[in-house]
Amino acid sequence: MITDVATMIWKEWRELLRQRGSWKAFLVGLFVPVAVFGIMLPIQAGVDWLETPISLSAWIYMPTVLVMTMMADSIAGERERHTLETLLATRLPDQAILYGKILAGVGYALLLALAIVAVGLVSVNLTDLTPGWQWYNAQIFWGGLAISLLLSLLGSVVGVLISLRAASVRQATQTLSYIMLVVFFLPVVLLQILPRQVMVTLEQALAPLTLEGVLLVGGAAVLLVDLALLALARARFRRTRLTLD
Amino acid sequence: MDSAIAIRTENLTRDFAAVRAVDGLTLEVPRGIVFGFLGPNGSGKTTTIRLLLGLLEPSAGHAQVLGFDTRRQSDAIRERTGALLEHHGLYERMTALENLDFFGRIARLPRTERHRRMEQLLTHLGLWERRHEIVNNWSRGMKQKLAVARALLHRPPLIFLDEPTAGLDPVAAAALREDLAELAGEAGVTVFLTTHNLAEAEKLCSLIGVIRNGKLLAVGHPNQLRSQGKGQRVTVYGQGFTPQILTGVKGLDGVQQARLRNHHLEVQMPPQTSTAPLVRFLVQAGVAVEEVHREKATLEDVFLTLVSEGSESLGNGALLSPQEGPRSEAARA
Ligand SMILES: Nc1ncnc2c1ncn2[C@@H]1O[C@H](COP(=O)(O)OP(=O)(O)O)[C@@H](O)[C@H]1O
Ligand SMILES: [Mg+2]
Repeated sequence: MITDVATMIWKEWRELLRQRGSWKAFLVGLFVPVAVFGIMLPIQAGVDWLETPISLSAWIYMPTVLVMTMMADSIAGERERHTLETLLATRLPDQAILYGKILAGVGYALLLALAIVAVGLVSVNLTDLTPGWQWYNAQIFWGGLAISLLLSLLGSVVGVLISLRAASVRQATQTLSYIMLVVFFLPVVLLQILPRQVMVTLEQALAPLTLEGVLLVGGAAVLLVDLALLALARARFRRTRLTLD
Repeated sequence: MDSAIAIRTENLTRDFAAVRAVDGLTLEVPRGIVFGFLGPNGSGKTTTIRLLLGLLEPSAGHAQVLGFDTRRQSDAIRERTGALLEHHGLYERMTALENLDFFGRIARLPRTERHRRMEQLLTHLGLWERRHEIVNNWSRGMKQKLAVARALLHRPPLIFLDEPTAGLDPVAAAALREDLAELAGEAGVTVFLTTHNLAEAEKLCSLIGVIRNGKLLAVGHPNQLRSQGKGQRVTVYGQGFTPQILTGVKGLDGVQQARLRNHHLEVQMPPQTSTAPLVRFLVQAGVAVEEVHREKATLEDVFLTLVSEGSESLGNGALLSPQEGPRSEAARA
């Protein structure tokens, strides 16, 4: 099973790298996220980028935005390009195909997040005048990595679920962008419309929580959602139920 | 299960909403042969392959492939088969070699064996020099060849080929047929090949099943089928044939099938039927009859008679691809 999942990941990455024609195009596509989260924000924040939770933004951006776009293609793309049926006609178990696709997305997001966080580290050290090399605050680094892992799993599973049902890649991409819009703007809208009283109560409830606490509670919540959606995806992804035309 | 049988179906049936795509199919395909599943478009060939691979559940009946039940043991079936389905299914953004490599990994071929086998097949098919090219830019014929290599890569004892030459130009189709004939002979692999092309079935297959509207109409060796042709073909040369006359001929006693060709009329009749009533009818209808020929039915006649029984929708050679022409040499042979 592990070999099969690895084979599937190998294919997904191969195809991903070839997707935009070449390595060059692939790197160009990474330019904006690297510029924003690897250079601009870290240089602006200076040492704060390493010491405060601001760097979590980099850990969170990659999984949510990049993975979802990538996963829109996962099943719908194979169906659209008529490769799905041939893949399903092989000995690969349903689960290996599903997990391979999900983990390809998770791994991709994590690698990119790590790379960008590393670029951020270099940016800060090059521009900050404090002598000596400075590292990320350990708690923030590991917390960020964990949150990134959980969120990319979430993004991947949601992406696969949407892609599974979508009639086309286009439709899957559209649905996923609506979801992202809601996820990003809901908190903003809520902050605007919630009565003052509720806000105050909320603040008081959250006040005693340390950063560690927030990461733990948040992480646990995301993990639960991950597991529930993964179970759903497993139930949905059945050869004989996938439409082939 | 008898180990001499590769595929056995019993009353295999599959419904889609209003359509019965496969209707009570009962069939046995022995091991080591090339079986041709011959039928017009929409007759249920692709659906049958999907059922046999366990990609679709049957609505009724059951099937065994290599001794495994398609409902309960489809994993075992897929492990032991190769397939070139309706679409070639190649990853067009990847190179030829990457495509094969992926399927070799799926089959868990060890690295060295995988590479040896890829080289062997690609060389054989004349694609080795182009192995690092992205498949996207290849011609259809080359893609089909690559897909055949992919199906054979892990040396499965059984392969499915769903209309492998459909959509190819006649030259590419002929080239692929040559390759298939050769590769199929390699190490006694069983081939389940579907086609709507009679010449292809005759060239490649030692056993042919004719399917229409999901129903199996006949099975047999091409020669056997030919002799099943319960009849003779009568060809009338002359002038003045019209569609009305054709309709009239079809209504005559003993006429099983009639077709109008350039300057002649072809009629299927039971053996030993006299042609006198036919000629009399034609003369009375105003045809200037010049010559009447009687000969044994060809496989094409048998096929057309079979698939057009009870249906007027299939006209002259409708089953043959346009490039083959209505009277290809192979069909005459
Ligand atoms: N997924 C499907 N949903 C609905 N109808 C289908 C589906 N697949 C096949 N059919 C119908 O079943 C019949 C047989 O189709 P198919 O097996 O593709 O024929 P062939 O391969 O011989 O051309 C056709 O009438 C087709 O429209
Ligand atoms: Mg078909």
